[in-house]
Amino acid sequence: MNLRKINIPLKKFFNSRVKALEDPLKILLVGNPNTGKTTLFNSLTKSNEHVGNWHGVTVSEKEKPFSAFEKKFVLVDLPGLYSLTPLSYEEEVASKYIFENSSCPIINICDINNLKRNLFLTLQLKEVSSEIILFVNTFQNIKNNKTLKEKIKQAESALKKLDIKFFIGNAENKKDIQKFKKLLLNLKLNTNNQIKKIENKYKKENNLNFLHENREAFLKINSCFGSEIKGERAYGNSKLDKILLNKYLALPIFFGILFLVFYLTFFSLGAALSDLLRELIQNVIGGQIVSWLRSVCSVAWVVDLVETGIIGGVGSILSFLPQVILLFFFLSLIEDSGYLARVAFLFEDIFAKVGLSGKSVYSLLMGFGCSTTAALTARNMEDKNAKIKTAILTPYMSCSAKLPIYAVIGGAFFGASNVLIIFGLYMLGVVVAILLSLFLEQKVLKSKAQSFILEFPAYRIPSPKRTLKILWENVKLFLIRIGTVIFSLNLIVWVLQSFSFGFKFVPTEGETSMLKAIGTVIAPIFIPLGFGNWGAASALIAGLAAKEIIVSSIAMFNGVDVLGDSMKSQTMRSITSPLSVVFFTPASALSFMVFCLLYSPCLATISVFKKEIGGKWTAISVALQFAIAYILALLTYNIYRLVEGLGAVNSIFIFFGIGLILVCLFYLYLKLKKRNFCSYCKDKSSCKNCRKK
Amino acid sequence: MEEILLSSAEKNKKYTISKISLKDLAVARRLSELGFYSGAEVVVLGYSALKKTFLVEISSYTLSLRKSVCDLVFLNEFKKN
Repeated sequence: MNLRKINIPLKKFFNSRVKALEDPLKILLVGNPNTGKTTLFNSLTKSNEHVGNWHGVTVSEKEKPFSAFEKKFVLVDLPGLYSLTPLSYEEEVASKYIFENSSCPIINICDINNLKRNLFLTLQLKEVSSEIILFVNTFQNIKNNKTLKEKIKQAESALKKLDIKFFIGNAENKKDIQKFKKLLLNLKLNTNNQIKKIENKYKKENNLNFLHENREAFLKINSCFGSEIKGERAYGNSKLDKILLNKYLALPIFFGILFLVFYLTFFSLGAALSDLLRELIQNVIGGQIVSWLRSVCSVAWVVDLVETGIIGGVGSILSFLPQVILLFFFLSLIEDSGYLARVAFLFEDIFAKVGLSGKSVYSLLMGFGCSTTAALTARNMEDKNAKIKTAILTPYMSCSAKLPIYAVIGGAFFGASNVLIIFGLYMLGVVVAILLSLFLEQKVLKSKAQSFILEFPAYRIPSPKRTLKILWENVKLFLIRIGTVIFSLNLIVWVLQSFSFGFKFVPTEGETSMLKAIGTVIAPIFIPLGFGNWGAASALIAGLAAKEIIVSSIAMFNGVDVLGDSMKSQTMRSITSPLSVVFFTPASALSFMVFCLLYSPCLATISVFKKEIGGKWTAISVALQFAIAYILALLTYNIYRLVEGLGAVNSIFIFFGIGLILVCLFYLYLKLKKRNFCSYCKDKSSCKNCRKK
Repeated sequence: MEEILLSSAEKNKKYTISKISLKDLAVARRLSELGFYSGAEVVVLGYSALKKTFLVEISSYTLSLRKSVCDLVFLNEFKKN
């Protein structure tokens, strides 16, 4: 017994040593934000992780094994950081990981266009690890590029003077990666035993001599570089910004771009491609299967399951694939071109007033794609309350899963003007998010004064390879989601809709199905919103799991036939008929779309919320969304009916009246606010100075 | 020589940083890690519509800074040696 007691710690000790020697060597990939860390990670490990021309794309560490000339390694991609003293959550993740794994060698990646600033972190990393290799990313192939060759020459001479092991190449070029892999063979475990001391030095509160130390580091770096390259503009400073950031043109250009994205995605191109795919699914694939099944199978529920549950349900969602691809394509162009940082700059003024920062733009824009990933990106906020607020606001951005709802329901009632309705819905989400942030800032989630320091990346032509990678990742996710979550949920909805509580098959009429019974109990809640029928209520409940289900459920409830006319046209026609299970009027259709835009996010987002912002804020966020969705849908329904009843001329007068009242209230608010200012200098911040004078 | 704040610097005019205020220690540290040190050259390239966010060129790259951050940086007029 005694021997056993003694053996446990010894065994543990030896095991850990053996493990360290035998295991593949773990290498940390470290660098400033937006230097191409994930691009290098993807090239070395043959992965497809998301990359972008923006600060803070990677928000947590990612590990993946790879081999170089038969030697095995594990590469860890860390979020970008400017120094070992963290300022935001993502930087904290990276710096903590570096100190906790101080024995691991480091690949430090720098951008050749911004090397002077990037090298500051390199000097800090050199203190932490003796096993460090610098990868200077050229972002393009070196051949025939005179300026790049000049930059490389300058970099080589500077790095030799700084005594750093380095490699210069393009992180996307296969030949360069092969050459770089050879250098990795010499890496070994770091033996620096001063880590605790160094870690302590970089703790915020422990070193107040930083101004002097950091100045010395920069002077040392600058002394190694020769004269500036002739005619070169500063990194991130472009002539294009004179137009895109112009005081008067910037916002119209941004909204113009957004409108064009919506127009191409939901109408013209997107709609045409979507119709083509729908034809293919319904007539070529679905129709054949159903005809064959009807001829060989006489069991009614089996035919109904395939026709309504599988082809009708899943097929109606699958046909929106082209529109999802287009939306992600345009989002990836905005992100990859470098325009996103400019958008952050544009909105910083407004966001600062509501307790957010321009950096929130990235999370919110990602929300147009998927709320789940968008909520994760809130990690790049410096302040905890701002992080919670940003995460809470992401579901108000209309995600791609809501796209079929607007296309089918809006298309049925508003025809060609639906593009304006959809644009309006997206903008409504943004406005609600900003107002909610203002409310949270003043009442419960006051953020610390944030610093907002954002580096401008250089504009670049989006790489087709990178864009295709992003598209493929999102298409894959969409298809997997359809094949797993949407498929299973459709089956559950079909079972609940087709069977009674006594488990008797009830195809369309006759006995009450389980779903009808549940929906009938809930439906009265939605009567004030104009869609108090059991079908709409049940579709909304199903949509809690995934928003895509809403349209397929409606198609299922209204008995859309695969063998008939186009499924989309059938669904659109059926919802305008009062004889259908789910039907709307123009007022209730608009109110339904507003409710779908704003009510609870899907289950996947809720689970991310719970992890990122905790159970309490998740519950508050979901409850808030329900309340806001209900109130705004109620307002939409009643205002639309009022406008409809009054006719066009009266409506114009009413809108002018409401506008005038809002302007007066705003003026009153400004007047009252002004009273707090100093009567001498009219500026609150310099009042003390005035009194002194 | 009279010192001015980065937030009141003229557009497209070169200045030299004279000091960084330690009023907000974390931000001052970050600025110093980004190349804001006494003697470094800086140019304001532009402002946002409400003049609350500044576009600044420092050490051959471009940064966007909130006014409260610019208020921590003191400048002197640039003089060629």
